[in-house]
Amino acid sequence: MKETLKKIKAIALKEYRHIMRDKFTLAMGFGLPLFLIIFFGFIIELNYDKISIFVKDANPSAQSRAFVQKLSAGDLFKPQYVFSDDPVKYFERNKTAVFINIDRDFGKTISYPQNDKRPQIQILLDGSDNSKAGLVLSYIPSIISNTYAPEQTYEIKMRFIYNGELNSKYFIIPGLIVVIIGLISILLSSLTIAKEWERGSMELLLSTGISPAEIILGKILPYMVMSLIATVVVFFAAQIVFAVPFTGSFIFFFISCCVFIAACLGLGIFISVIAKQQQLAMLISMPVGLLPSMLLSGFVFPIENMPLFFRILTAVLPQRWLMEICRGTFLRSAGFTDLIVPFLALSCFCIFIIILASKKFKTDLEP
Amino acid sequence: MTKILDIQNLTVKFGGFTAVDNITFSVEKGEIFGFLGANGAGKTTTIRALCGLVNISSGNMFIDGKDVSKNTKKLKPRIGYMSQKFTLYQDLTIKENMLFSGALYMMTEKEILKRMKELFEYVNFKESPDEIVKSMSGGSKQIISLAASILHNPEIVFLDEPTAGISPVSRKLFWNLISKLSSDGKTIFVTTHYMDEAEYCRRIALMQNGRIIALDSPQNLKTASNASNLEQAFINFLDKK
Repeated sequence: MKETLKKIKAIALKEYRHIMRDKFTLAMGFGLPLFLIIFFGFIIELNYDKISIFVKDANPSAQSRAFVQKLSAGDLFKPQYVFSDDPVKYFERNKTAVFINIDRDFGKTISYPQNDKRPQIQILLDGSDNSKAGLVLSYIPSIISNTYAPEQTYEIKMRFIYNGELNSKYFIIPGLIVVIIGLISILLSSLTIAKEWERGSMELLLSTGISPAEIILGKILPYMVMSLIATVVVFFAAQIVFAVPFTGSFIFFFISCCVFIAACLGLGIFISVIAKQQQLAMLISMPVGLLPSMLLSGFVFPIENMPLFFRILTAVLPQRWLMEICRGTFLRSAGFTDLIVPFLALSCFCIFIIILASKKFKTDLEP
Repeated sequence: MTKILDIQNLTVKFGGFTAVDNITFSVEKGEIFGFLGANGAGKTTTIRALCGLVNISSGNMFIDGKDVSKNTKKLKPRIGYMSQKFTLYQDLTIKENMLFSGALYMMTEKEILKRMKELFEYVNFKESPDEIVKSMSGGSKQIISLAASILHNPEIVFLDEPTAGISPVSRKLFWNLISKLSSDGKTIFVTTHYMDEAEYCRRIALMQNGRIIALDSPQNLKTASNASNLEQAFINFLDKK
């Protein structure tokens, strides 16, 4: 045991020295996460505001103006009057996605309801952007009923808890932290074993009788510290730049991050063990680090809506589990007892992948 | 003399290629044992097999009476191995490399630094220990490699072409150190291309296509093949085959 610890320490110290002398690794470890969180934090925007609406009012009246006025209250819509009644022209040139045609008798029929003629508004939506279309479709009827039937017998008040303003940043940024830390950890560690093979130093390591597990654990330690520092940097960037609140237990979040990082480093080392060449390891680790965490971790696309096969598949992704922990601790003040399942899943993956990498580790120099 | 290495019918195959073909020999304690042969003759593979770095296909290997295949982990600390490739870390300093190698053999920092100093003084090595290895000459790198492989004071030292590509002066220093190790009772197993170096060996094995075609002291090899020097002796042996 004492021997094992000494060997692990020797590997860790050596690896630390490699890192400190390698500007590329340092830049990747600290610069890239900061760059990614700010870059992606700004461009990934799921909130809409100032959606342009073109209004053709055939016969402007006080009533129709009141309606358009209502549309422009708040920041969601930006109506403007047009005179052409050919919406296709605007849609084709992508000038707007919403076109409202107000009937010439609108004002009259709404003030003096007639049996044979009801007030009419035509709403044309560009279905090629269906998220925008859906949003408009859900808002406009309520605006209409608000404008013309203000006295209601009951009132529905909706309030969102945890993310009161339904700010998509609050949803995206905690997820983004998971994606970035996962990617960095996998990339950093995926080169380390392959590098030893390529440079021939694996021969030296193996001739000393050190075991694969000792090499792997020794390599995980310094990168763990590095990834944790990157996590803290990204965490504070999220707080400072995007003002995402953190409501849960920081200690639990931090411990979960440690387990997650160890799991991702283990995964990277596994790739390195299999690939044995730096270029190949890099090529494998890019998609492995990025694609599943973007698509299958629940980062943007909800896991509940996936077909059964993919729902089961996501269970083997460490990103999926930290995603739950991250959103839970950031927004819902969830603690260990609420998030015990993701935490255990993460721990199991971590142990499994490190054992697997140790088993697959080649300990002979056969060509 | 006691046999420290005993190799019986060793065969190593890589797929369909037979790198080492049924060789049997033994090495005595304290001996300088030379391995000669062209590139690809199987010298490196034999050494790697003895160090537990390749899987053998058949045969037995014993180091100090212990089966190598069964006691690899226990035997490795008793072995020093210098590969023909440079296997230390180019981006670390000499001292950092030594500290790393030594630590893997359970040496303390103090022991490592003391031993490093002794070894470097012995071969009159002048580079600063805080120098990064990358910028050094081939000769210096070889000396550092040798020092790293014998740092932990192993009983048997395997040197795979240790003097390839270094200056005659460095080679002389190198062999001084090897002779000293031998006189300290260490067993040296060395491969080389240089005939003058082969003369330093107590016994020499000549390898060709994975087989040992001659094995004896340099003097006996010359006598047996009616040659005035080793080079001629080897040419005669290879012709006979």
